[in-house]
Amino acid sequence: MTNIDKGLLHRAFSVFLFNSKNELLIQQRATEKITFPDMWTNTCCSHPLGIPGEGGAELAEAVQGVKRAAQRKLDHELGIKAVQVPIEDFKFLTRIHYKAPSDGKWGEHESKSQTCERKRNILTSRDQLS
Amino acid sequence: MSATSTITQAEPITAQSILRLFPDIDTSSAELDGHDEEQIRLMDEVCIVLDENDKPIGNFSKKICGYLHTSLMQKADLSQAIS
Repeated sequence: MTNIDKGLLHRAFSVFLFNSKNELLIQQRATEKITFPDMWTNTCCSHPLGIPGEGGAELAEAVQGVKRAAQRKLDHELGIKAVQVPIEDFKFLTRIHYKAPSDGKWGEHESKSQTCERKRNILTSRDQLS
Repeated sequence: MSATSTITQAEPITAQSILRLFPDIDTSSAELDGHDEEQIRLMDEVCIVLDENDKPIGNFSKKICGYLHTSLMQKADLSQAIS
């Protein structure tokens, strides 16, 4: 719990994937998910990992790493192959820094609210499907 | 009549302070028992921990990042949904 109380900041991303009709692909999270099971959400949200190719200290490199992570997760979560969502088609919109309040079940013995803090990079892309 | 108050200021997370602020924790605890194995595996993926200037200062598993503690976040707010 102390990690959250202190606001451990980590890098994340959100993908909004549109088709040629400007329709946004949304997904329903799996029942097995530990966080937000069964909830509807935007196309894909996840984190770049601390592995070669997904990190980066400067903005350009960080954005490139996030795009690689987005490609990886679109395939992992939705079966959308990299060839359908080329890196160059991802458009980086902005970074936001937020804290989200939580009274998570993992902290139910505590009375104070907790926060999860992350730096989220917003990407959009148009897929190669109709 | 006097009053005493204590002001707690969150300490900035820096490359110098992070290990002291966030000493490593055991990721194999019983907290995840009963959850889907794939979801448990994903919890061991390493996130990129940042300072206030978006610079990487370390790697921690999602669980250490406090990921699990978001599980009862305001469920109506889909913008905060996470994977």
